[in-house]
Amino acid sequence: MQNKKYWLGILPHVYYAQQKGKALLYNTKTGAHILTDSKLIITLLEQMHEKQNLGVIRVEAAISEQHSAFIRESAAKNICFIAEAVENQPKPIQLMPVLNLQRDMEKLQREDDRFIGESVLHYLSDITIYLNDSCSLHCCHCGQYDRQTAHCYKTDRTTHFDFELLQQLFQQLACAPLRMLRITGGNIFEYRYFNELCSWLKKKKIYPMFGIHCQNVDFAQLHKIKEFPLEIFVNFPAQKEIVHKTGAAELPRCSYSFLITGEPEYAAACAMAEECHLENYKITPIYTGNNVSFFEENIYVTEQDIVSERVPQRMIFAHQKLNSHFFGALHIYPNGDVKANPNQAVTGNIVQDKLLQIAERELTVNTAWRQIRNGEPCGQCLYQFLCPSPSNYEWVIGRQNLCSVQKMQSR
Amino acid sequence: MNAYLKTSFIKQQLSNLKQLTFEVTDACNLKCKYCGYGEFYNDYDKREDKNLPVEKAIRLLDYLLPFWQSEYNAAAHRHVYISFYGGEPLLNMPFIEQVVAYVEQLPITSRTFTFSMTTNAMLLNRYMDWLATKDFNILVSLDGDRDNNAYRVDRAGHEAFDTIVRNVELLREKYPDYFQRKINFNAVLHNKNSVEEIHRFFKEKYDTMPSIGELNNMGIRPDRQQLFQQTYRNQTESLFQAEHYEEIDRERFIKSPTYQTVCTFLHQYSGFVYHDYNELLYGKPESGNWITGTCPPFGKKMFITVNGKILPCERIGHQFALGQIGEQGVELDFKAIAKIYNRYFARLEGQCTRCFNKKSCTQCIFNMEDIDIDGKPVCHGFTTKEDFEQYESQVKNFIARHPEDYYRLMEEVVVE
Repeated sequence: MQNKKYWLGILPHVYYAQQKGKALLYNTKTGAHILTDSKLIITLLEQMHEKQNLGVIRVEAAISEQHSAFIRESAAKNICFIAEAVENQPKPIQLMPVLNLQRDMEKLQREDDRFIGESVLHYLSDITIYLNDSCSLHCCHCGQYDRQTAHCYKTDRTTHFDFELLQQLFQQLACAPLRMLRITGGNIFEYRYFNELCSWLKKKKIYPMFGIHCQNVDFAQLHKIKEFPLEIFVNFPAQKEIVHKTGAAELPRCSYSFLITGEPEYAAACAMAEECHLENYKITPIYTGNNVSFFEENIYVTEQDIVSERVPQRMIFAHQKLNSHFFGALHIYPNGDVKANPNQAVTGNIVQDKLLQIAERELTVNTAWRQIRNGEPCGQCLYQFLCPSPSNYEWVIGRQNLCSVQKMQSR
Repeated sequence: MNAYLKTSFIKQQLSNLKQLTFEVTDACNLKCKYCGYGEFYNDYDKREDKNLPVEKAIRLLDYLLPFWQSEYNAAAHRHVYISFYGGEPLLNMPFIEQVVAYVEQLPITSRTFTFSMTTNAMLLNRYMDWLATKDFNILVSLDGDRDNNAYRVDRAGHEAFDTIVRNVELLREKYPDYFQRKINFNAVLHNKNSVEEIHRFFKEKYDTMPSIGELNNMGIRPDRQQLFQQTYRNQTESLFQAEHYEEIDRERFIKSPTYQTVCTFLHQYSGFVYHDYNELLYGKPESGNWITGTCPPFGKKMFITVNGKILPCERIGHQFALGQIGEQGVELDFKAIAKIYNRYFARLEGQCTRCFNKKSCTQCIFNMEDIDIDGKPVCHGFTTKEDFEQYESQVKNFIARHPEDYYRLMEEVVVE
């Protein structure tokens, strides 16, 4: 028995990360994982990950108790396998999880006859058009909402999206595989060409989602957008009677987005949704600069939070290459400016540039679409790519990581 | 009948065309024994020493331009290859010059046009200055050393080897940088050469690696079957017969059929290959709506014969033309094209459903016997469970023997 030899192999659905003397083995099919700081085990894992070994190494039967315990645990969690090495039988191999992204930016840049923007239309999936930038409301945190979630905005100007330009824009998007096309403002009901736009969209059978602040809802004009999906933004202090009235109006495709800044507002939003019998609503926390403790308690994640929900292999790969919140999104403002994210710089202007050119520029310049967790401290973290992509919260709060993991790992 | 192909998809392909190839002339100054338009075959239009009129090419370019500028265009920037093919294209140089001049002035900033040509190099000495100026990609047909090249003869039966090599040498001497960047070779494998000989010749003489092609085994005249079989050589078998098989295979890497097979397997079955960022983010699209390994029409290229026929590729019989450039304009009926493809696919769907290798099929419907005849064409690529297991095991054995090549294939090779 003692002389028996075995093959110890890592399974192909296992994500492996190693940082600062610790290693993580994560089963992407079940979420089961092993975290170790044992030098003995890490040496074993490093050997398995040497290219020539393709995930499998030969081990003796008489290995240490530490090894045995690891092998038992990893086999139980379907992370590693162990098989007797039979003479004259070939060594088993594993196809190790090497991400092969054919149209990776870096790969296309290396090829002489390729352009990074050669199929960029297919990436346009989430478009927000701001018809105007004027609004007479004085929301407490205006200027924060649209930087953190889909929302209306305003400036101190009064700009209206040129209607002809808007039509050209829709034309450019005609074959884009859009998952979301959102139209908001300003107060969209004050958009100079609102009537023309509604008629034109109906004629063309284009049905974007309109977004409007609840206090800007003009019940006299609501019928014009009855056929369209409608999202009503509700912040606090909220005017319950308006929410109630819109809830009672015949708007079959209406949803609500509550923006909350703390626990009391969360409770109020839930109560309002119940009282007004809202079926389709979401609640989004908004950082104000003064409510970090609310975020620490409710948004920041712990190590346990990260591993408690299974992250599939594809998403781990995705987190290495793109930002899953922002990829494919463009925000188009009434003066024609385009941003990949409201927190980032302008990428182009549709008066001068085609949307495809702007998207290509975003792929190259990368203000948002390919922002991943490769900075400090996430770049040194075992959970770097298990974590969701950086979100708007990171940008507005000014922290790369909204978690307590680094503190844990440095212990 | 299942709608595998829709007209809008064909418009999309045209709007994002990667390569447009003109059969400039059907005349040739060589008479190679195995020529695709020669004695072995019966699936091409009669060769009449004709030239493709420039007007037809211009008519086609004018037809395509609005597609490239349409809402179906997905590219901010894209390379489009404008390729010249024959016969021997250098026999109709005025056509090439005029088309190049026309393409260069097309009012479209989203396209970068790259010119390319397949030539036997017999007239390269005359035109190399102009070709170098236009930075042409040139693919020279040459089958190896003098003996290997014995089938490439002129109309009087004299060997072409000396002239070809002399012209190639001249080009290398005159334009060494251009030669290194833009000149490639294609060798046809047959019974007078071998993969090993071809590989060695080009390595020693030009320090380069040619592509190696087999004789097309479709459209063979029944009375030439035996002769064809005598001439034909299979690339994999020829490679296995090489004394330094492993070394050649590794050097040829993705140009070798072994590596190509492994690469195809990994792309379809490893689960770690993603076409683009969308596949990473949203997952792979359902593969349900396409069968066989046939390219979508104009998905890779458009080929124009000397008679103005429009084909999806130069490697298929002229009877499969999808349209033509007529006197009045370009005649492409998208509905009719979709119908043809859907009809052919319908004839195969039963076999495809049962095939264990349908995900990585490389079988083109137009290279399948009897596809255009009602009844059931037989797919020679049909794979049973046992066949597939054997294929998988061969691939895994290869990877076990060459573990580092697994990483090389996954990290370096761009095939799409």
